[in-house]
Amino acid sequence: MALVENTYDNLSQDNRLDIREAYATLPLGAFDIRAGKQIITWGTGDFLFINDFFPKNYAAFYAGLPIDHLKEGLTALRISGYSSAANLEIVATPFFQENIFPGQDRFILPKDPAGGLAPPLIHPSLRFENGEVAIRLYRNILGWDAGLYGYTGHNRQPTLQILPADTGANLRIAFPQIASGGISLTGSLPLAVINLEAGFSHPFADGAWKAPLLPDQELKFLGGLKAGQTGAWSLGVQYYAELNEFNPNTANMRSGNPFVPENIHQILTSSLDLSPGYQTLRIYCFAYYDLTYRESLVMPEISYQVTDRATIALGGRGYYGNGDPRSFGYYGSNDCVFTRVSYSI
Amino acid sequence: MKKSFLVDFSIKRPKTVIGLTMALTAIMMLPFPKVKLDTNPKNMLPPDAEVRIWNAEVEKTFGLYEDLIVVGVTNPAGVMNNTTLKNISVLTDGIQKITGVAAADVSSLVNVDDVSANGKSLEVKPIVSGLPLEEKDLAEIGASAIANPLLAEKLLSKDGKTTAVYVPMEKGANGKVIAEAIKSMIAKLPVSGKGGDKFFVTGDPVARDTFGDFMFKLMAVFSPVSCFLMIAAMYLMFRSIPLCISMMAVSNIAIIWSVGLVIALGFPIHLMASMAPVFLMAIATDSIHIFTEFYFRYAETRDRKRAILETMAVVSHPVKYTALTTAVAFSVLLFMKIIPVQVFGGMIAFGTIALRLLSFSFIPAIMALLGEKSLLKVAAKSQASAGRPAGFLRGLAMAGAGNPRLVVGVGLILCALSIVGISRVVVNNNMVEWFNKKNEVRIADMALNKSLGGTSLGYMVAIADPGQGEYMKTPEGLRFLAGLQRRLENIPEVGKTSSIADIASRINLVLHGNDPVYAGIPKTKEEAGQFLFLFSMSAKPSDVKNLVDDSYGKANVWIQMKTWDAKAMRSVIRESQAYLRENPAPVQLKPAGIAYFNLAWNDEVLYDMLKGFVLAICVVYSILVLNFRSFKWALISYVPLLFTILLIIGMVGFVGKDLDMPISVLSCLSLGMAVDFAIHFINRFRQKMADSGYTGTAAEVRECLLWTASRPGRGILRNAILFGSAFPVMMLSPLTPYVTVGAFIPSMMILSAFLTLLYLPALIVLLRKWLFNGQQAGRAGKPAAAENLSVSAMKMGLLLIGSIAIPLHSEENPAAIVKAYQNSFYYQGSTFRGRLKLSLIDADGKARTKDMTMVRATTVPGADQRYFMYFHAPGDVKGMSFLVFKYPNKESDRWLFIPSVDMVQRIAARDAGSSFVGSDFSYQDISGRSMEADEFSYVKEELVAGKKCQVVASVPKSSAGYTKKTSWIDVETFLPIKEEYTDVQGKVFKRFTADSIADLSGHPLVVRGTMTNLKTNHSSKFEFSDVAYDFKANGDEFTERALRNPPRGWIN
Repeated sequence: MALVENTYDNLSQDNRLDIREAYATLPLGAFDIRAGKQIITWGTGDFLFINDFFPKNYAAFYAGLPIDHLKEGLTALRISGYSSAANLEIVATPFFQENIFPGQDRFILPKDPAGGLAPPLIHPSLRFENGEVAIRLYRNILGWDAGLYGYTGHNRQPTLQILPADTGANLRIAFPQIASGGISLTGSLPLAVINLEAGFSHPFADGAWKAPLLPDQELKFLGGLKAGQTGAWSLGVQYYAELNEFNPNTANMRSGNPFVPENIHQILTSSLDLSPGYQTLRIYCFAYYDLTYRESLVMPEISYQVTDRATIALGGRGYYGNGDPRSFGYYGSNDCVFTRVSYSI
Repeated sequence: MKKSFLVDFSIKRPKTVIGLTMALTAIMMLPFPKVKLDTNPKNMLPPDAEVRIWNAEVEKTFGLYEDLIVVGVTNPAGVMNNTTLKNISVLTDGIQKITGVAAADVSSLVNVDDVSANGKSLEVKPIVSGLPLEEKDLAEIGASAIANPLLAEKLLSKDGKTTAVYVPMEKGANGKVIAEAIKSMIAKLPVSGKGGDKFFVTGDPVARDTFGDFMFKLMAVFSPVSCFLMIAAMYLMFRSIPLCISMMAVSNIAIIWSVGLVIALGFPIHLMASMAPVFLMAIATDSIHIFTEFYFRYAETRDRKRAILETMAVVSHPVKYTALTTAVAFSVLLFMKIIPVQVFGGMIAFGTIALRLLSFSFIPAIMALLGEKSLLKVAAKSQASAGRPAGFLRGLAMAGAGNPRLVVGVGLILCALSIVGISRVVVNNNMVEWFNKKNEVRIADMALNKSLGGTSLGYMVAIADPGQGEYMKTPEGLRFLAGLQRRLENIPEVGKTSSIADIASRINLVLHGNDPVYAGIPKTKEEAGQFLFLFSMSAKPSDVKNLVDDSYGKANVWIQMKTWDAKAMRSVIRESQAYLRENPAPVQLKPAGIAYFNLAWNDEVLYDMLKGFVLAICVVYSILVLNFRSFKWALISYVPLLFTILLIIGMVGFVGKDLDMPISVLSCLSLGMAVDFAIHFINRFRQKMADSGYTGTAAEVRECLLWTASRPGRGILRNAILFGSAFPVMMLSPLTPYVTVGAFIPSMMILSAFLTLLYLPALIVLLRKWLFNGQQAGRAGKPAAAENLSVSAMKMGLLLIGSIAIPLHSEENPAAIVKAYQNSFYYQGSTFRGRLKLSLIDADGKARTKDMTMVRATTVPGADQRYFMYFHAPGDVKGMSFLVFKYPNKESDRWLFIPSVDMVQRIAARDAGSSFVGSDFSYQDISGRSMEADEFSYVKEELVAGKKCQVVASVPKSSAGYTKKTSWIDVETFLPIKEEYTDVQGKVFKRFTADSIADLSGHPLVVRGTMTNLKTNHSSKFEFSDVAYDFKANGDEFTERALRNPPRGWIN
């Protein structure tokens, strides 16, 4: 099956044809094998990803495209195995795909903090050792959905790498190899669904190159509650914390850099989803409150289903804060309002 | 040096840490009074296990009891004398009065009937009546009972010296309690008969419940004794009492935490979980490495704080990994089928993580508080005594490193021998043999098995194929049964068998004046039928009912076995199937009974443990790879462990001991623990290599090996000795599983310590080039990445512990009508599938249509159901699917699959009143409400649309979006013809009408229906098509896989 999308951008007056998904699935006994470009979502968070190791498109997200466009298709081989003991999913890809971030072409971004210095961007080459593997093991344990995750591959977000002076000082932007893992639990409480997720990630050494801005180990935790009535309304809150530990040996390379994250980064989110009456009108609002960098992002959207096929929507992204470059404040000047008309066949 | 925050904090604020630990421990003790014990091994299998359901069905069909106690009576001068019979009579009467005993079916010599002929009719009367009797009469009665195959070996042994009272128990009665009551009754019997009567109380329930009771009591004795012995051994090693006590405190705190958690989560403590404290105590000894290293460092530096920090820095990596492997090896059990196994695994995994947390907080805090004086004393001793054990350890390592080829060669030969031994291993389990030979239970069992037909009871149920009529009445059927009996009696362990064929032959003989020509099965069906009819008219109803069902389509062959060996029942099953193959008959043979149950649950547990073992091997291997960041080193570190297990199981095979449940549990345990030694050894060795800046030349390797063997090797040896000192005391236990634990654990630990110290040096020397090939000096020993990874993993574990949420955790007529309505509306067929078109029509007549497929399976009839819904249209929801697990008395679990982002999401669970996909139907209209949620009242009978209906009103007990629902229920189909919902103002605001009822596929169904909102004039109409019932599905298909990829045939 395939999903192809044509985008016309009136700013650049570009017409772009995108293949969002194109894959074939082969069920083989207890296994489903899927090959091709596919969207994969793991983990339990709403817009907060710990064990979702797959590429995201933040450019689409900040531009106000439909929310599913935050996920990018990954060209990969996915093997899903199902048994009564546990279910297993393995996603393997030889191709590295980075996250897509808003660029200068379309977004208003702060002045280049590197001060005109433009280190070369190095993508991982297409070699066997550069392939990525993600594994998910999950099953229901005493009524709880439990998952165990592991990933080795490249960091999807580029980071600054520095070669120390004694080995010939140099700078570049690259995607170091990392290992990540984690677990998740989802279950029903009497009034709400609760989700708990924890994960860690840790970069591997990349020769003599040091990545001072990348935490040496990063521990992430997420807890969320969502109450509501199926289909009618839901109210959710999430708490997210990130514990970053940096390599003390690279401390001097970090000093003064505005991009260095705090050691503890905490976020609260809330969401409201209302579909009163016959569920033709939907009011949705998601908000981030970054407790560490003191800023927030609100994403309201109202949509109305005119007929079975046609839906109109009005929404936006509103940013409040000081434009901290370590968080979404970097894109803070991109408040937007959008309308959308969609027609499905 | 890398500092750990936790250790640092613990040294700075030791009192705070100790206080916090104690407070937490006190909190974890709060749930203790709520403890639920479950001593019944039967509950190892859930009540809905196939074997339990089948056994219950067999018991119902044949009027049998689940459990039977046998009271044996022996008298060397023969039991047929007036005094003994009087005793039996008093006993029989007394037993019938005990609560929990199925009084009507207690049988003994004094109340059992004999069958004799009286002309052409049968006379059935008690064998013994009107005591006292003449000597002559007694002798005659005895002789005739022995000659009667219905009684011989059941109620009277062939030598006339043994008889028995059979005591069936009501469901749920406790065997031990009843046995105690019988015993006290026996003690009160006035005089013993000539020659002296002896009484034995035995049977599966006695063994089972006594065992359960014993096990808990022994745990209460052995845990403290083992604990004390470990303290004593540690005192000899360190000569510091506060230190020994603090180390045992750590294990006890971890035990309290994990037991408290299990109780708080609401799980009962099963047999298996009762072993957890001893296991955790054993795992706790790993912290001995911390102490050993600490004293070395302290002796070197004389600075306590520095010594602690340095110790934690070098020891933390291996200690963390050993904890991780142990925790992971046991977590694997969480994925097994049997709930007590899951609880046990979770308990140990949690306990292990708790232990490690304490190792990095509580232990450093204690060390920080120890008096300097006593420290100096121990440290001085530590250096002084370093000589002897170190010499031995060095010697051991030298032997390995010096003659690697010889050592490995010997190892290979031992491996080969072990494999021969393993090929001889017999998988078996015998619960009576869990008691030692001197135990009462076992003596009684042996005595009765010697003279009577056997105390272990199994059934083989013969089920005639449909259409065979009263097959068990025909001469062919009876001959088949008799042949099966003779075949089974050839098995040495089988004593006596009984079936309906015995009765038919017996009557045949008796009615023909005991003429031997008529010994055997009656010749014609008419004759056989007549005989059985005659017998059933005159005998106790249960005599026939126990052996054949009312329609003569199913017969029950009783098989008494002289042993509780699971393998005896296995051979019965095998022989029965072989007999059926060789003598084809239109029947099916299925085993049942308590002996079969024992076989089934033992197999299940054994299989689960073995499966867990294999899985744990794989998972632990991956952790080792992560630890060493090397496949090679991980492989090497596995050698001592696998070798140990191979040797021990091989030994089990040679000694001829059966591979039973305790052994399989212990093998699993050994995996998580024995690998610890290798982790310590290899980590410290590689660290030493790296610290010394070595690259792996022969001399360097040798030097480091010797250092490792004599220093960290000491911790390994001490750890093994601790085990060796604490566990052998268990060999004194009267229960053989404890003897097994007492022998197995120390030998396993000592053997694996020995093999680690001998074989790792040998292998490292031999494979030096391969191991160090291509390794840069800097990377060799300091696996920085792995270190960080392990820190993160530990932290995550702690976070997890912190975040484990406390689980929150009529009128007769109208209710009966609603129940029938629910069965008819929601539970028709075991499974259901249909295409559903749902049109939502607003007041202006504008319609939207949802097109979906609904699949339903009932997993517990009348209660639990699973629903799967797949949306075909409209386009914005196409491909979405929806999974619901419905429970009768709590909110459903729901999952939604969103194809655009390939995400399965668990969604909010409340469904009272919320609209189903935007229609006028609520979720509860689609999948039903719990019977408990409403009060019902009967209104009247009324004709609606030409159909006679019962009108019933349901009033919700708690808020449900309406205050009353009135249902017009068709008396023929029990489907609702009309329903009206009333709001708070007492007005009807929503109305359902069944527009068409038809039988599309075997069950009546509301094919078209409308729900109208009278306030808004909005209505929703549904129509079913492509309906199918009872297709093959059992609920297991309703998974995440189904959401992503609906099973073939569900949605087309």
